[in-house]
Amino acid sequence: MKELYSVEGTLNRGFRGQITYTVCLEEPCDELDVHLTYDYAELRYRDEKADLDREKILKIYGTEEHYRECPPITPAVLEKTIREVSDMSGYVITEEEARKFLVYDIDLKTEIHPLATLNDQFIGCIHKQLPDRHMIFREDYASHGCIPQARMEGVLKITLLVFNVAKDHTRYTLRVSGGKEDGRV
Amino acid sequence: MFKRYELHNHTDESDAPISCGELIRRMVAERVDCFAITDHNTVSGHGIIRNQLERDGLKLTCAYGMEYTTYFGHIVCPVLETYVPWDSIDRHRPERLFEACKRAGGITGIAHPFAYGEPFAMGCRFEMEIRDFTHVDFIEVINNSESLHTVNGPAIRWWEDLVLGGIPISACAGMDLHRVTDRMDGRFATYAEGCEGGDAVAELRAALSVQRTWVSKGMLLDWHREGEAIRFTLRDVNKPGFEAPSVYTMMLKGQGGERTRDITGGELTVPLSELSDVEIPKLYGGEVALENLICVAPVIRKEAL
Repeated sequence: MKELYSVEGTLNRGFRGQITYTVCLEEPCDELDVHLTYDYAELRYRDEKADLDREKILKIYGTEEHYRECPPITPAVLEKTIREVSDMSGYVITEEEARKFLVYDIDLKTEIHPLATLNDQFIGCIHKQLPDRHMIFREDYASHGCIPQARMEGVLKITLLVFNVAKDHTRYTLRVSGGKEDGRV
Repeated sequence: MFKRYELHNHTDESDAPISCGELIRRMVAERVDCFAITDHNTVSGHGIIRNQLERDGLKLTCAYGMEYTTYFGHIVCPVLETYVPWDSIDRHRPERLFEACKRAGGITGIAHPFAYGEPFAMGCRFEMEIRDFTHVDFIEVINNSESLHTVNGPAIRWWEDLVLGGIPISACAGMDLHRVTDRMDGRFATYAEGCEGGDAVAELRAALSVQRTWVSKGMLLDWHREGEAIRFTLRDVNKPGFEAPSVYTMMLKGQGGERTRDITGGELTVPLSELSDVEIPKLYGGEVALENLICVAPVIRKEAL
């Protein structure tokens, strides 16, 4: 397949909303690949008061340097965590347990999902926790979340649905590739 | 007869590991009358389910829907055959999206309104400001994947406040099924009246239009007018895994407050003169406590009797 369009962008932490890219498919395509990748980031915190379990830190954060780059646990974060866990489980955790939870257990990822329309008709959305995904469209096949398409031409819109960005300067790349059965574009 | 509905289910077409085929097999095993496919922001599973049901010649009815997963909360549409765009979602004017779904022939509900939000799951808590509930068919008062006390309890109370405030809106339950291992026994399902061989989706639509849906673990608290009284009757709908308690208690919650009555022999009659204009009947196993809740029955509106 030939690359028809490529774009890169950067998102700030906390952004919620959508960004739409419009591509005019000049030639009909029998196959289309919409490829979205973004920096995978889990939102974690560093705890300057606690002794580190170095083995766990390396497993979760990769390097100690990455751990040190995380935002610090503040009293406000601690209080909010204790309250939320209590609401969720009915169990009131201690400050020490909350600190461990924030460093080792919290599972909150950057969440960006691509949605596609062709000539204003919905053709797919991948709502999965994956930092690298392809929306593949063919007549006899479509990737999960997508609807098979026989012949694609006209206006393709790709919308990035951004639910959560865990870190500032989260980069993403969107590539659209198309092809024909005879190998041409 | 009463039909069992499972109105909130996901597949690997969105974020669940369960395939469309596995979802069908699960619903057959559970003896469900009608189930909905409500994947997050996609209708791509509709064709797959439809083809498999036709191929296997199953009588099971599927409602083809979707769960809008927005930045400000989830809207579960057990019926939504055509994708309706939501890119103009406005948390201060969500009515426009509900109305657009209804215009497209959809059934609309507010899913798990008090689910956990930031920082655990952005967008899960319902943060939209609804002023006009005209196009909202139901509130998912029980989401079986969520906490009973901190998520479903507030959802029930919110629905009760709306109903007692004069808003005609139904209550429903959903599994929010994601995994093959998600247990369905001991969980709540939605029930509505129907006929053998009847169109289950049309019957659901009719039930929602007059707020005659039950949310139940397996025993329904049915009621009908008899002269100048309401006769309440317990009906076992044979939900797999339901364990009947030894004692049933009925609570009526109306504008005049809450009253409880024991139900013995499976029936109870209450004179109309003892009821407020609007009453919400609920059934408990033993004493009245959320963990003992068995059924939320259709609302009694005196003016509609």
